[in-house]
Amino acid sequence: MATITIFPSQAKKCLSEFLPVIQGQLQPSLERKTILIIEDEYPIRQMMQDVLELEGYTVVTAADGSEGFEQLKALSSPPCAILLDLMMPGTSGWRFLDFLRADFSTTSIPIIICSAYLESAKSIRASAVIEKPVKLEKLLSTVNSFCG
Amino acid sequence: MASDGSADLNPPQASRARILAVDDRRENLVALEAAFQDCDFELVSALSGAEAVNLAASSDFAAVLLDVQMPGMDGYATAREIRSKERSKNTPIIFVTAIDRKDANELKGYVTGAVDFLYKPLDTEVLRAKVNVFVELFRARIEMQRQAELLRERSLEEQEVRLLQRGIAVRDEFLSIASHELNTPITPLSLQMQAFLKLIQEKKFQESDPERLKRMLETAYGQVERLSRIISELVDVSRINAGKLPLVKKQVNLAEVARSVCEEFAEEIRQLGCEVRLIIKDEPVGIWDEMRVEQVLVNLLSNALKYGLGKPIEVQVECAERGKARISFRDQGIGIAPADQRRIFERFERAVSPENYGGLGLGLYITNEIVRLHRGAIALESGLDRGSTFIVDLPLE
Repeated sequence: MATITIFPSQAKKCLSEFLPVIQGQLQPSLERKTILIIEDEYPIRQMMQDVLELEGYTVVTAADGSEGFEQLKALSSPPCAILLDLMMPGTSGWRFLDFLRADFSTTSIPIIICSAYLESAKSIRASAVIEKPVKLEKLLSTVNSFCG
Repeated sequence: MASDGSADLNPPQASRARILAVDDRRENLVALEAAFQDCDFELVSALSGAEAVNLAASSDFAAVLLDVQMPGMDGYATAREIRSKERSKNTPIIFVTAIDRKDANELKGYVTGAVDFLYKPLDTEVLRAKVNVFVELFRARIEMQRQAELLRERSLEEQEVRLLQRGIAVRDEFLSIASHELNTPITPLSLQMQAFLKLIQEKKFQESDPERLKRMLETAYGQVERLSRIISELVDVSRINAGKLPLVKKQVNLAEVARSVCEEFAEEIRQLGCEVRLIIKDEPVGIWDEMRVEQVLVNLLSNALKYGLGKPIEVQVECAERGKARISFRDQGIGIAPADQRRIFERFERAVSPENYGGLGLGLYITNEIVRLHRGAIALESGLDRGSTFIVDLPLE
């Protein structure tokens, strides 16, 4: 619980650090499209990274919401989509979304929810939802629709 | 309903009040029977104090009409005896006496437990009125007992219902955890297979990075192993439930099993950046099921790694007193609150949320059952944030 209570101050710090970078370079990169995967299960994270890299995407990964912010901050341009798990220990997908949407400049990044619980994803204004277990075709067609 | 009619005509035995009349003179008893002829209770007669005491001790009476002057055991002695028996200690006693009121020892009567004195010749109306009071009291008491019994039955039923509901809730939660645990490995497994199929169909397999392909296969195989572990846990639990967990016993060196389990975990331990110290004080050899003992060690070591916060873990093997082997696992992790310490050995139970720690919540249950089947015992020393030590004692034979 401790990590959750101290999180808001961390999140603000993260946001204020990476926002100028993102705002400065909002035009899409002409290089390979970058996708951010936020997923606590290492095998899922790694396999999604492999299959998306095989499709020619650049992939960065994070094991929870806070790590996701770190990765966003480190990127020189915003990702073309974020694949987001909801139920994660540490900073959950819902909290990540709260902080992502706290600022106008990050609300435009397409969010693809990846969850076994479609019910819990319903209330979220996501760009798309992919049900777990994930099918390759669905994953690629969804990602391509935002990044292709 | 006609066949059931008899049940309605005969009220239940408990509500049929009975009066015990005690007199050494048969004619007096006959007179009483006549007086109570049309009353709604049964009159039981006794011709001596001894007979009355036996009758009162063997069934319930609404009241006893007791003659004072009787040869042998007189009314007072009979009353004392009736009072001394557990069943009849509260049965109301009405003394009936032919002695003139001023000569009668009423005090002695009340001391021995009488509730009233009646003088012969008896006034039938008064007699009937008084006896009826006790009959009504008796019926009221029986009804109260019946209500109390019903209440007790109902509260027992409610307790059972609560227990069953708790059981259902625990099982529902288990099903939701189990479906999550079974679902999670499917994503990487199916992504790997579909990706390989796609590469082959698009004839890109040969040109793909072999390191990447190997990693994907290894990850997928890891998920197959993960699913196998879950399934074998489920199989174990259903075997335990059916009382059919077979043990294949032979000579086993506990220290050797501990060494091999620690080696098995070497890679995982390295990845976690954790330190596991194996201290072998003795090499106890017992007659055990080697595979099951190994399972106990694997479960306890993986728990220590899972909940140990990456801090050093100590595994110690030694001979305990009275022909027992002992292996203990000491971690410095999140620990277990005293309130949860018994519960975690139950089926489907865990002390922490499944969101933060995976697993079915069956590991300790199975571990405990295996140890129990070997007539051993598991002790736990722990506290919240104080780490946990699981101590397993196994009889050598």
